[in-house]
Amino acid sequence: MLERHLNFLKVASENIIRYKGRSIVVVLCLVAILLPFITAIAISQGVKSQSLLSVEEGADIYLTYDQYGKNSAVPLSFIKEAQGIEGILKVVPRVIGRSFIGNYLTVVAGMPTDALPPSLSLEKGRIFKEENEVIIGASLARALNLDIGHSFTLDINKSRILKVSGIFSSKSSIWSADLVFASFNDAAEIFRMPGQASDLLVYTRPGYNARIAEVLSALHEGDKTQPIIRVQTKDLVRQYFNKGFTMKEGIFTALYTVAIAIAIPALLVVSGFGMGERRREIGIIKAIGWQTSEIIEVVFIENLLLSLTAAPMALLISFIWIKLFNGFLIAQFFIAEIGILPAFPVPARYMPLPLFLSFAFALVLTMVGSMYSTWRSAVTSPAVTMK
Amino acid sequence: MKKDVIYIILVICLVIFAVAAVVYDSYGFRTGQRGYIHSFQKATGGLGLGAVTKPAWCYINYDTRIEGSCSCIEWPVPGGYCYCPDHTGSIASPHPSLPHKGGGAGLDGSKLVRK
Repeated sequence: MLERHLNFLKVASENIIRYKGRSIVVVLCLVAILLPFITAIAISQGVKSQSLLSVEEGADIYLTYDQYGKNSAVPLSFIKEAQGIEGILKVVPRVIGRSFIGNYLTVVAGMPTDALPPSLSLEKGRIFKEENEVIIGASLARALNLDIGHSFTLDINKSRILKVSGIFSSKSSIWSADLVFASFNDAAEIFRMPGQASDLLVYTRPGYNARIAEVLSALHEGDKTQPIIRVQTKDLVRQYFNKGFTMKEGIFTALYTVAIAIAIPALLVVSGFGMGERRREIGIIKAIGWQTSEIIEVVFIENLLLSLTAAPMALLISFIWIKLFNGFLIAQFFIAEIGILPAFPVPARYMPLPLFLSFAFALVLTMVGSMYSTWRSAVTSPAVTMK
Repeated sequence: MKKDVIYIILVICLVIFAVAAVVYDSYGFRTGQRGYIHSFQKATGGLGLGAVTKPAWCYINYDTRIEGSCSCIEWPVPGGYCYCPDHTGSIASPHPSLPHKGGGAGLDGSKLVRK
């Protein structure tokens, strides 16, 4: 019994070798279809992994004022109001803003020096110690040719000359790439907002998060002259995150399913190359006693082999393109603002499910493209097909 | 060795290499880059959520925690078409339509949700 199926495997692989041109075209078409799919899902998973660390390492609650439906600065005096609430471990002010350096857009972030971890993984240099010292991202350093000890100014405040004390490692995540990271006071001075934070990071005892969020939200409820407080808990951020990524990946997969459905007739035409000869061959093997089911099994094994060639090949090409060539040319289609050659490792994670899905897509495509024509040839009289 | 046998061996090798790449990648992420990302995220208090390196248009795709509503809906025609490409141009972004806790605008900037 097994020997019979092994013989079919042998015949199927011989057929693939015999119709070399057709097989190469089918595999190349499949790789071209599957490559962007695998790459997009891998980059999405890579960004998702980095985002998850951003959520988990971030604060338990993010607090800002809400003015005109937008986040607005919080006075540092609010920290005293918040610190009295039971369950709050610490409240850290933060500055986040944007500024150009010439034509180059950067993100400016400021944190109090005493809130920084004891060691920070940098490409080179050290953490800022003196006034106006900053750490910059790897992309920014490369684009503007900045190095340790170099000085520059941000367009938003040209009176402050900033000095590079360190450069983030390119592995620090994609959001560090164009960052100017300064002490809280320096960042507040850069934006001319002393005594204000763009948001407050609230760290709480485990289990207190939801209750503290309620209390913080209600702090200004009684006083209509005070701005509305916007509170985002870690759980809420996880919700944005999970819903957003699932939706985007779902949309991408759905679009791909449509694209692949459209590719089926194209492949049907492509796989029709050499069908005349194939029809005669089917007629001959029918005449010597093959059953229709046996012919269909051989074609199924052929498609299985072609799919097992195309799907892993697409994954390996995508893997090499992203990991070895760092997504040269292709990564910019999936991550905005990174340019042709990113200065940081493109985040990508290759998971088993997209590989399996790619294989399934390839198998469905080739089966749809060949099964009907094979069955038609197999059920037609050998006298007709051998003509 | 016959060509068909070579081809089957080639297919088996491709599958093994593809599976090895997937396994290596999941191991590599755990050991390689994680330390740097932890350190960066700890220092900045959690920065970045979407597939964009800087908020060239709005913060939604960069980090929804920083700004939950897209300011692009306010210009050039207030309430008109939102020209910001960041909402659709990426494969990964935080979901921009959840209301936030404590009042103010919904994350899509279109409605006020107040608790």
